Amino acid sequence: MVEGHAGARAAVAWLDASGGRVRWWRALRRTPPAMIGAAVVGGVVIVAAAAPLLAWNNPVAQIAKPLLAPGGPYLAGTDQLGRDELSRLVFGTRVSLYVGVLAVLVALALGGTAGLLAGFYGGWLDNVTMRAMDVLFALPALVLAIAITAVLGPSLTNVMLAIGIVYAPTFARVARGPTLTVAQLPYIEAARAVGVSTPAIMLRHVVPNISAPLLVQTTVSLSTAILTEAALSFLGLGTQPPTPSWGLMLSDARQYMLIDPWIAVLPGCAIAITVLGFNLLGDGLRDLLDPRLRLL
Amino acid sequence: MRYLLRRGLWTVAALLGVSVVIFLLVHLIPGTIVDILGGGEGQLSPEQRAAVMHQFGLDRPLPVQYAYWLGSIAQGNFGWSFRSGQPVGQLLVSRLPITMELAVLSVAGVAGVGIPLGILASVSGSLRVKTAVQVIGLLGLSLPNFWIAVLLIIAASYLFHWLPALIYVPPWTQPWVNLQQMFLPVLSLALGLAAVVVRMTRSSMLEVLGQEYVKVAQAKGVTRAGVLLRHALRNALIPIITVLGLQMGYLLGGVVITEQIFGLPGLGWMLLNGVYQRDYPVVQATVMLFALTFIVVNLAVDLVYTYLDPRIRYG
Amino acid sequence: MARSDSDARGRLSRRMFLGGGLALGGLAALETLGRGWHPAPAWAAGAPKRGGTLVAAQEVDPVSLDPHTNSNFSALQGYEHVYESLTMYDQKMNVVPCLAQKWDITNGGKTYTFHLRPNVKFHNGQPVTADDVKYSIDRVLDPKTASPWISWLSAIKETKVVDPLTVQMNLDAPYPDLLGSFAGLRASGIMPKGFAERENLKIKAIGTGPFKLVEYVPQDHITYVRNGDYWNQPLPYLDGMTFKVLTEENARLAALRAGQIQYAALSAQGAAQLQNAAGITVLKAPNAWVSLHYINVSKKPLDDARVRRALRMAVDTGEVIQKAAYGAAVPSGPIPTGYGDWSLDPRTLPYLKADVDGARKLLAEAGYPNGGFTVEMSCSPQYPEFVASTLVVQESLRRLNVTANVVQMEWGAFVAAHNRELQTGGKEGGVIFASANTFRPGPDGYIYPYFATKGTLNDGGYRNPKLDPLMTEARAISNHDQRRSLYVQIQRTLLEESPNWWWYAKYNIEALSTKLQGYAQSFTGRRIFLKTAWLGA
Repeated sequence: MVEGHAGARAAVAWLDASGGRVRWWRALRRTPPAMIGAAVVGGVVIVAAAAPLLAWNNPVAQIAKPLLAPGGPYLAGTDQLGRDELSRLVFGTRVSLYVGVLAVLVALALGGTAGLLAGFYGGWLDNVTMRAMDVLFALPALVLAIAITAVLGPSLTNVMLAIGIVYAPTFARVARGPTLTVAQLPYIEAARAVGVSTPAIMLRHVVPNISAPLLVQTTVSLSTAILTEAALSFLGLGTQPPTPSWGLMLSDARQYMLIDPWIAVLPGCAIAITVLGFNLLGDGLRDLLDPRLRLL
Repeated sequence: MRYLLRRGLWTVAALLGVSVVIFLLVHLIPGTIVDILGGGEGQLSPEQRAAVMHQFGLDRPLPVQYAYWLGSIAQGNFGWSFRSGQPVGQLLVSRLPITMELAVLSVAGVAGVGIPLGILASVSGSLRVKTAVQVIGLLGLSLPNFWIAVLLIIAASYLFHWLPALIYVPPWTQPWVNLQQMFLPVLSLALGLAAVVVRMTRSSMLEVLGQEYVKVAQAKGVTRAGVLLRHALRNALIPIITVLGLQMGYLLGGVVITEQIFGLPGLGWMLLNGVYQRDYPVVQATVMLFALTFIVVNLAVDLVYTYLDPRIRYG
Repeated sequence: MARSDSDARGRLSRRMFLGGGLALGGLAALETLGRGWHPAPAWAAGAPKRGGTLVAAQEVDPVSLDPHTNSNFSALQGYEHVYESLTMYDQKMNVVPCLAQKWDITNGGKTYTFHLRPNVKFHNGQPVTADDVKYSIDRVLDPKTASPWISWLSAIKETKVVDPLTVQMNLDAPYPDLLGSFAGLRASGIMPKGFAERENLKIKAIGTGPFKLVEYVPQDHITYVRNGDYWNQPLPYLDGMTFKVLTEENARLAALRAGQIQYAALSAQGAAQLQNAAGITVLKAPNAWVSLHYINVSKKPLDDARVRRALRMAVDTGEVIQKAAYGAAVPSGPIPTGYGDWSLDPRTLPYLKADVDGARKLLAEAGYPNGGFTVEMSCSPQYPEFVASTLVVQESLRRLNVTANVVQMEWGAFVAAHNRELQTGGKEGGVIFASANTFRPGPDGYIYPYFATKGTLNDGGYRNPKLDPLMTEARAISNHDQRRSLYVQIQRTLLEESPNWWWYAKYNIEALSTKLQGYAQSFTGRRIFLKTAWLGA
């Protein structure tokens, strides 16, 4: 414990001393919400990575009497099928991260590129792409997700693919704005005239300008992906049992709310803390990056 | 004027796109109304199945079905529900007001609470206040929608022994009962959405308050409140209105779970049931309606922009 | 081999049962079982009085009110107060006269002559005649109507109008469950002649029942009003009923607690959550609801009865009851426990306790000494209890080193997959399906369609040449004791062969406001006796 604390302090000191390269670190320190967010997200990632070490029992094995209260060999009690609640909570971090990352990757790949291309080339391509995004946007998100899932088949991966597609228009919009601005700057034209290849232009000039807003949107979408997975699990279309996802655990717990509140409260807290963490981090990043970015 | 015309054309194009996407999607979902009606425990012979499929026109090739459907929509006929046999147009008309009311009340609630909180967070000097507002706002955003709804129901009945009348009454019949029925659903939705508005208001206000013309106004001697309301807020409102518009669009399409849990006979619940029961006419028409509403709301938002910021003009 | 197995089972079963604490709930129910079924105790204090509107919760949207064309139990719950048939059930599950005052069975059980009750009127005022009966029966049997329950009445080859109050039906073979088929009301509602061609039966209903349909707003609510001209005076007592669709159980519980509804059907967990709330009584009674898994017996290695039996042996029935039904169920065989004397005594059922060693031995015999194969199990979250039972099975099979992949599908997809499996003889669609059988008018409904070679609901083409003649014979003989012994033999064989895995018969749990009196539960799981209920102070 003491070593860990000292280690953290050493890391902070190193970052402080590194000078200008990490002025963002100093800015981050000045924003407590962002710090809290970063700490929570970091915590979740660590728990997810170290899950087998932290959870002693198989999260899907029914090993004990159902609905045991916390305490004894099962620190968080057992759920309605007699599975170790703590192990399920711990492994739930993996599912949550998997869910968020997959959805965001799909959304970035689809929407981010679409917005980038639309903003860069402008004109007809811009119009068509954004209208296509509008079509996706105008379809009710949940129904779209349900329909895509039903067509592709019930698996968590398919569900998150569907969610990614639903998020794509937002990423497109986020990517398009700054790209539009940059694409019209004179030095871009100059670069093109000189003969710099388009991909190089995009990479060197456009991407740095959209990476900040996209980063912010990523943290936000990561958190909403977790909530969307919970909503889909409520409808029975999200996680496949017996996979331990917090959303599914929360949904299953509805029947037992007044019988054993623990199996409802704990996953609820887990979701709340994680989503809160991502949101705080996103807010902090936005505060940090956006106003400063405009001056760059 | 020309701008509206162009937007109108794009709207039609977008709607057509929506219609194709939802038509394909919904027809690709495994299972048909025949399975829903005859499945479960009973069983239909292959001849019976074929007869019912023919009755619903589901044995024709997909492009033919789409063409027929598009043609009848163009003439104002939205078809008949596979499940209940009722005209879909009638179903839409009877359920739209409920979803509308839910959406409008929720957005009003969110704006009424979120905007003041966001302003507070932006002008307050205290870090504690700023953090507190942020966290409180975000708490609502951090819990799944269905969870908030279930907790509210349990709290209301268990702690207060209260629940509104179950059968929905429109606001023009019995406004007080209607408001009671809307209270919990609106609360559950508003809690979830307030955070976004708080955050957007705060950041937008911060940005605007840093602008030159605000400093000029302050130098001129305009009161703090005057600066806030007349100069800052008006410009800060643009992104806020965007968010509210987006939320309206989301609410009109995404309140499925809230309607289901509270038993409100709105469009979202009808759409979800339609998907579950493979009631193609209902699903297609409802999605088209949602899309249309969403696009119209976006257009209204864009028009409000021009009012708020005369620099923005669409040619 | 079979004999020694049953010896072992016989020796173990008593010990298993007495020791099985988890079956405690079942114990209480067992005491009240036996021949026949006993109604819930009547606590009514005071005489019935007229008046009042019942507000109740409906768990699943009825989908359509057409009494002939759809198979959902929720639809039955919607139209059962409006339509009636020739016979009906009383509180002791006896078939008693309804629209038919009396009947003669002649010609070796192949001719039924029904004498209709005179002066019965439909809700629109027109009198009930034999023409209406013929019209209704013909409609069900017409292939164009596509009635999923046609098999209940398909024994009828011809319906003849003898005179305005007499109907004659000719069967091609005796079918003693016919009277029960009418009472079961799945495909036997009597409607005015020509009604289906004039109206949209999905949302309109004209019958002879104690309540008239006022309006059905799909997915939202159904309203009924008292039928003042009901033939069974002085019933009903209630002035009207409103059923509001509330799919979320917490909402139903909240409405009960807040007094907004006076009736709701609950799950065992829901009843437990009520925690003795004031002003609410909870009724529990056995129910014709058998939770089971259909098995596609054409897929290897499930085509081997030893494999199926071994897998079943590894699962503890008591554990399934605890985790899936929260203890509110009784172990059951193919015919639900509590169905008169047709069902097997649950204390004598095999597999009450898990026998993993025996299962391993049996698997080894079948050629899978270390398990090592995979089976796919499909379920739908529409019924969380089936998801739970499937998960318990999955967990139990792990001990045999058998992997069960649980595939949770949305209800429409689940039904479509099961239908495809049935239609392709098991080649496509899935392997194991978690579901339940609800009420059938007689023991035959649980046996013949599923396990006879010619059965229409036979998963994967199960064939047992020894059982086929027994099943065919049992559905036709009228001597009760002979029939019973045949069904006992059939069930025992089926349990051994395990073409399905049967788990339990769930309790029917209904919560009533103490104001609602005179209600009795029915083994059919329906709310038949709302017609005898009244609202007190």
